[in-house]
Amino acid sequence: MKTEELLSIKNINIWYTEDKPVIKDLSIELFQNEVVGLIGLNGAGKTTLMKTISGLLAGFEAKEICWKGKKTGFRDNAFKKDRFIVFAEDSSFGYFTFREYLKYVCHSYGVKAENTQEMVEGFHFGEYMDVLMKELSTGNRKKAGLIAAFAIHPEFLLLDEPVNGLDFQSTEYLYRLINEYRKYGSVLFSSHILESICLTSDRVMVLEEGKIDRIFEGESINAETIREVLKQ
Amino acid sequence: MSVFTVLAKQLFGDKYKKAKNALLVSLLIYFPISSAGLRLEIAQKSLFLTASVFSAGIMMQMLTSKHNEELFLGLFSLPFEATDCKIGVVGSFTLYTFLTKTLPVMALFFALGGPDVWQIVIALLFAVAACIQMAAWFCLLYSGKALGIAVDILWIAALVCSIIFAPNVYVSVCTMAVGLVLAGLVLALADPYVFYRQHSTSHAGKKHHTGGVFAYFFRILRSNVSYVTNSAVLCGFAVLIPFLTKQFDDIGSFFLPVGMGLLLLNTPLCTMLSYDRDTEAVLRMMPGQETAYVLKYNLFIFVFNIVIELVYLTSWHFSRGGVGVIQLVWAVLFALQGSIISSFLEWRFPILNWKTDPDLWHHPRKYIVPGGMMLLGGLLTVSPVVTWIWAAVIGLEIIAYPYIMMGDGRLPKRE
Repeated sequence: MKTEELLSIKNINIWYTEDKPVIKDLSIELFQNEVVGLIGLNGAGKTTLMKTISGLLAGFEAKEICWKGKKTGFRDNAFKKDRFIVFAEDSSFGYFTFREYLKYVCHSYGVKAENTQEMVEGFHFGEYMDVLMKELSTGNRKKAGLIAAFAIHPEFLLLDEPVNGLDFQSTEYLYRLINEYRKYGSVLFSSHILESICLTSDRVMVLEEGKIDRIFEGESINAETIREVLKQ
Repeated sequence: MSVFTVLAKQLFGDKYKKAKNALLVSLLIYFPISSAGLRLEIAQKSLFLTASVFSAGIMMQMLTSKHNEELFLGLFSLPFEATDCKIGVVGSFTLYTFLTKTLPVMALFFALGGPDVWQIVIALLFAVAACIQMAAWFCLLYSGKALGIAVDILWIAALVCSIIFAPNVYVSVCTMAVGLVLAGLVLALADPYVFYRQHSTSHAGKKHHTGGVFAYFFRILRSNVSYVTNSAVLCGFAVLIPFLTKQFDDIGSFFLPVGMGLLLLNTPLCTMLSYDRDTEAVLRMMPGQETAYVLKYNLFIFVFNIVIELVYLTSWHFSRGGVGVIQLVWAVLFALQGSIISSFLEWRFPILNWKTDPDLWHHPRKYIVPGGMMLLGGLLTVSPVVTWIWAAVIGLEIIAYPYIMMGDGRLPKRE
């Protein structure tokens, strides 16, 4: 049974060059406390959609964007307060240590970090807490972003290719975190690895040529089934 | 496809658009000024020295850019021929420096100096030679040998002396030619991997004590020599300006505030956010950054501005006297206004479409703050009332600061 609507975007077009839209007339609805997986081939527009929702892209127009039933903009401060994104590639705040970065993020969101110690252990990140972020490897930088994201418990969490760069133990731990996150909010996460989406998602959206081509729900969320359907 | 073509395409962009634009800009600078009949007497030696030092400086920024790691990663992962690689790197970097940076600046000098074809040709030759020699100096510098550094110092000194003290232009040109031959030899013997320098190698680096945003800024300064160097050069300039303008003692009261405006040209410090595109993106994604980050960035720039302005006033006071309370008020106002506009431009109009460090540091935006402040400096001498009106305006700006910063400005294009 579906819960209350969290985010609704109607008929959005997104472009880098105006005559070449990357996302065409896409509509999407996300509900509270659900995990939605977004899959698609390289270049399908997953990251573009994530970046637009994060307020980073200007080249878009939408018929309507609603957050918890009220009209909003992707750059509205109230919406910003409720969402956090972990980018696929991120070298931000290189001169902060992770401890400082987490403190900064918590301060920006006006919250206290929760379960940090548990996540630091889960991701085997303990020895990097006081190391500058620019000195971390790609995988450890990804872990830093994920720990911060899950520690502040935003109502809406966007994860762009969160599995990329993670070792298998951390990947398993990430699946656990995503699955447990429903009690705090909703997750929209993109990946081109079908298994990672199937292990965590309540709904799977297939993004193809800038449109949501298919949606899988419930028992149809199965890597084999989806693969077979996509081949057709 | 040669390495030169690959790198040139990466640097100049699709259909070498940047090269065409740079040529157009140079022509647009040269012809209007030249045909307007504006003339300045520019000594030949100054012209050659400017062409050489400016071009060599930009070439050094190109070669030491942290972003070369990305530029060269694909290149060095493929099999390549060493000579082709070195010609490609030095050739493309030289061409880029020459066309996009040297030519527009020199076009201004040529337009003001008059149409002396030979002088123009030789100056441009000096610029190209300086770039190629800088590549050789770079190879020696990073060869890891003390002898390399010593040779560099002697070589540069010889070249500069040959321009300044040579009895005629032929001696300077001959020295430049000898320098080019030497550069060719050094580059022929150099290992091409010298151009691929990894800036961050440690994955389990030193542990740090916890600090806030200001600690973050100071760490950036510590890791980027150019930021500190630029501020140090400005301090040096602040000491020198009162002496350099002493001959115009009768209009000293006009020069003092104009100089204050000029000293706000602290480019690397005022492009810190544009330089770190990932942090800029994450800041824009998070709430409340107008106060959490940008306000502190503003204060950080203010501290540097006020220190430089006070150095200037101190130098002025000891060399020419006449510094009173009003000049101290000016120093605070200039430092504040400079930091407010600089942080505003960084937040609302970041420069994100740059490819190399010199693209960012020589972006025309850098002249907005010092240019505007120099004009304002001129206005201050008209009437004392202007100072107090300006102070009131700054007061309002401070109150409205978070609101001024809200919004996302130019909505930069991202890939």
